[in-house]
Amino acid sequence: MATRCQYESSNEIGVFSSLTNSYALCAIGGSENFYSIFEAELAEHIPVIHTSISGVRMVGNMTVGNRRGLLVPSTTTDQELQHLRNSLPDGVVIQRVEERLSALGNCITCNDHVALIHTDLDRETEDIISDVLGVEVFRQTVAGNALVGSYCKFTNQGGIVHPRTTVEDIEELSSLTCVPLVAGTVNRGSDVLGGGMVVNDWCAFVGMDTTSTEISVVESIFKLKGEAGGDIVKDMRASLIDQLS
Amino acid sequence: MVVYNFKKIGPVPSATDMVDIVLTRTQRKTPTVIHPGYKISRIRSFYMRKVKFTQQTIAERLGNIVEHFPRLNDIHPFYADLMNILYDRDHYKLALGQINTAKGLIDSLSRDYIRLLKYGDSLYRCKQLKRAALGRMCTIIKRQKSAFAYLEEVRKHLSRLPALDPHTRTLLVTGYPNVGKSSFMNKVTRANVDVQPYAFTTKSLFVGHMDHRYLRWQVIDTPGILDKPLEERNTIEMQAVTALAHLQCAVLYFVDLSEQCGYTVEQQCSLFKSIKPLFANKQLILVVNKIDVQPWETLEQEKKKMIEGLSESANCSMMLMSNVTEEGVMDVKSAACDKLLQARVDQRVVGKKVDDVMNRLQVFHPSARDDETREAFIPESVAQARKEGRIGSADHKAKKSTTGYAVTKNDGNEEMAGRNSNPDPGRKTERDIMWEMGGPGVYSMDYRKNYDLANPEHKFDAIPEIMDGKNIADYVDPDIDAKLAALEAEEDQRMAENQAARMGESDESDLDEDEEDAITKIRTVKAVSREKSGINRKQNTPVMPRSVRGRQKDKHDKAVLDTIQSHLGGLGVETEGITKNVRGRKRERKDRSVGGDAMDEEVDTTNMSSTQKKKIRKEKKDGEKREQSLARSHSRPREPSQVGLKDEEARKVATKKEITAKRAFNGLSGEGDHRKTVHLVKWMNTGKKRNGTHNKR
Amino acid sequence: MPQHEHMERHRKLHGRRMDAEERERKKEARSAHKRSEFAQKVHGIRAKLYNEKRFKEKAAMRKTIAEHNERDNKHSNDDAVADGAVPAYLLDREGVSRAKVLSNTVKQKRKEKAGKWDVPIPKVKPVADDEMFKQLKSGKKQNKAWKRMVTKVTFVGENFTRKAPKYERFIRPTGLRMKRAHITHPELKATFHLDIIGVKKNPSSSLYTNLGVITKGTVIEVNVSDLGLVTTTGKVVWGKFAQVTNNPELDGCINGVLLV
Repeated sequence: MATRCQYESSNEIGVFSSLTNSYALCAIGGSENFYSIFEAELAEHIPVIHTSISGVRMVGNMTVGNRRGLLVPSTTTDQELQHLRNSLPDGVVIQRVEERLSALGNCITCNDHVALIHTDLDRETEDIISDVLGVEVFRQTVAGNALVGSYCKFTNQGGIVHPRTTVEDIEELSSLTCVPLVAGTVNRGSDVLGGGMVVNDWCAFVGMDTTSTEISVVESIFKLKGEAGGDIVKDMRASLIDQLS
Repeated sequence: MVVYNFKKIGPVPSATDMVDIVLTRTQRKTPTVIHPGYKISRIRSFYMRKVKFTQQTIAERLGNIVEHFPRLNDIHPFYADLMNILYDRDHYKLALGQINTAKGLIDSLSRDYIRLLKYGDSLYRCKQLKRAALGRMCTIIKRQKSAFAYLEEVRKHLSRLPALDPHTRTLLVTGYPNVGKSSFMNKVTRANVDVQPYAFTTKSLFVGHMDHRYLRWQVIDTPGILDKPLEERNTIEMQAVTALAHLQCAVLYFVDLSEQCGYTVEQQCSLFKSIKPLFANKQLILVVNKIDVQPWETLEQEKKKMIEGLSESANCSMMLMSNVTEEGVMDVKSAACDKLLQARVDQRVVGKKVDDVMNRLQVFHPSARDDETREAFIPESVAQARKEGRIGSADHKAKKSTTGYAVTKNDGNEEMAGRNSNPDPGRKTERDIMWEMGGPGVYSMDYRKNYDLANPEHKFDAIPEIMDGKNIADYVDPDIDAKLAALEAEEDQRMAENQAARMGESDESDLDEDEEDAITKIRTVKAVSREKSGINRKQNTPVMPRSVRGRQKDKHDKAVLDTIQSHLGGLGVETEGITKNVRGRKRERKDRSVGGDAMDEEVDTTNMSSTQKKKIRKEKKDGEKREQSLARSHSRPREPSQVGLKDEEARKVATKKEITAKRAFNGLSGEGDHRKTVHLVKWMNTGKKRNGTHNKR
Repeated sequence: MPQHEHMERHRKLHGRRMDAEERERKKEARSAHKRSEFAQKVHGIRAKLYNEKRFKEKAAMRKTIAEHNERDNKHSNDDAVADGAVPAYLLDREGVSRAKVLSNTVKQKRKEKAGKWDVPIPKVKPVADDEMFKQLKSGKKQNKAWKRMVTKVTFVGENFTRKAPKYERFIRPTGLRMKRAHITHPELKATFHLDIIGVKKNPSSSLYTNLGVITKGTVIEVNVSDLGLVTTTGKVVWGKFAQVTNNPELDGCINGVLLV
């Protein structure tokens, strides 16, 4: 099930939140509206945590994590770290990463098994990622962009990549990540997928501008409705062709 | 893709308003003060500026009008034709052309007058020329009165035209008047078109939107068409014909089976035939309406034949429908949409456009690179919830977003009914609590309440960030217990080892008691002598300067000398000569007073007057008082007389006065001593006062 | 009703306020007071403009009222009744003066007269030399002052070439040369934009005439072939005299009246 939402009238919700299979992070805002959208969907199953990273609200941009762990940039304050530690479930490891590219969420994208990372990331960071998150790590670009976290989003069940990624590239990425992939957009044609949506294995949140076609692509590729979702190849082909070309 | 939105055109003022606008603007934006005494070049440029400015303002205004109104050649032919029908193409073009000509005329006029102004030789002449120039410009504007009025009307109407996009997916509803076109429109969209039981209720094009197959569709309701030659059609009908002619769309031709509309089935069929050329290259569906009144089955045979013949001849499908019972409405809609979509897709597949988006049309499944299985991770509770149909099920309906709004009564009802997206209706979300506690900005959540701690009692414990100037986090170590245990273990081990090592030694001595005593004594003496030698030894003691040591200790001093003499005398050494070599202690006292010599001299006062004597005595006394206490390094102040003061007393008084005068006034004790002057605001109190009553200032 | 007539739609759906008509009536009734309040308070240029506008309105109003009244101002006139015995069939006739008819004919005549230009400008204020000419300094040291520049509008013939600077005493600046004039035909009461052929007479001085200076009252010859005037013999007239009625150097254009 994909839910449309907005963070203080910004559609880039992936900047202000992050979602994994075992926890969700949410920026601290002027009101509890944004938090409660997550809370209503998720609080029954996983903790939804208010936090800031080094006093900044862009928690989605700055952090990366999966069900096993959470990486935060070196600028994170001790208090925030303590708060996260207290809020996260016991099985989740939290680790501060000394890395020049501190917007980890933009540079790294991962599911519970595989991570794609920015090509310029440190060797040590790579090791930390594989240790803390328990994933295989690949240095990759998506459609010529090194910011894999921004232009690509995948879970254990499927993934969406930048709309300009070539067919060959998608095939390669798909074999690396071991999940089915498709090129797509969110927020009425925005290619910043990491900014426009947050998703885990059973739930997704997308920006308010996202069209119904985009939502149905998201629901279908991430298998959010179990196996019952529409099929991109069959059902939505005509609509996609008509809208895109 | 161009989106037509004619709402952006700015209002066109009437001719008189335009004149007012232009002239007041000139008056406001150009300098207004000029005198005949000024240099002639200044006067000329003053008026030239006015003329030029007026011309620029007019050119800008008229240019805006010409620019913002759509040019019929540039817009989509549908709109061009529609505008031709509604506003008459020739009239429209003429009006815009006249405005453009007026602009050109005014430009050349201003050029002429600026040229004349260059020869102006007096203020009067310049002013007259300016007056003539502005007057003629205004006359030109006034001549365009009718053009302005017409364009304003056109603008008003244009801005109310429905914002239909000629390129998008469109369904177009057409047929005789009163056959149920608008009712169908109201059924499938939310356009809320007026429906009345008489012909020509719909007098213009109406646009509605609907969703079908993840896409947005545009439905256009047209006025009814009568069966007559094109030339005889009126404006209302022509709008429908224009839409039919120019839009790439699926057409729904409505036939009223019941003939309640006042036209027989035959008439409707003949209209279909006469406008058939307009259906070329379009997806056509023949919709047989009002089957609730006149079911298809009971229709007369020849009428049936006629309609079937129509659908065959036009090669289109025929569908039955009733707006009242809503029978077949959705079928008609989806059939039309699918037909149009299919046609559009086919058209695109033929072209190259689809290749660009191929990556978005297919899912790329991974080829396994190893035999590891990478499972999805869905918590038990989610799976459970899914099974119960609370999330992710197909019939699950999203709640309308209430973001930013206060909780209303409806919210509560919905929650009661259990239709909302909140999977756990019993749970209060943070937003509900926020509204209960005073809304955003007032309520702030305690983030600690969701902590997941081993002991929930510790949740709200306050932990300082900094304690005793140290960041507590620096001292927090998750492994502290393990490390402590390791350290303690090491300590224990060391101690055990030490113990074991000491076990081998014995502390018994092989000396007897006397020897022990002797040794103790020896050691004591040794220690004492070591101590003493340290004290007595001079070499390592700091050397004190003589001044510090005191003169008595100096060997040249008398006391020391005496000691030496007695000591040497005791030893039997001749001491007489020794003292002679000794440098004498006494030093002459150096007189440091500068003017001292003169002062010390006794002045002969015998033949002086008593006042003189007195004066001299006083000066001497003052001099002494000062001189003796004077440090040498100080520079001497000048004589009181040289400063301009009479004597020392006067100088003192002056100094004192100087000090008191220099002391800053720190206010007096109480509030009553504070004096507050009236605060004069500059802009309120300066300048000429005009235009407005005095109390405004 | 088109789709976006929101006001009408709203009115149709929800109706108007109960007291909408009453409010409108009151507003209308109040408007005179409002206007007078404004008129009393306004000052400066706004007042001037406002008064001008109001004056025009009032004049128009008076005119219409007068027109309405005129219809009724038929009044009995006892003097017109003939003295003495009157035939029975004329007994009920009273003398009626039809003031309206009279006034109309008077007006008509006045109008016609006003349209006719008897003598356009019989008397012209002479223009002095020092007003007409500006002294120009020349020479290497700018110490010679024999050159003159014409400060008024001039007409210069088609194929005029300036003399060598050494011999050119009068300079007629190109900026002040004019070729066309707005000439009103007094009988047609229409104005035409006509080419100037030449300056016939400048009343101030013959020198000015020779130089082609055009001032108020100057008689110029204009090309009237566009007008299609015909002489009594049937020939097409192309040159006709006209008198200039404005100060061209102040107005930037030449206005004149055709001399018929």
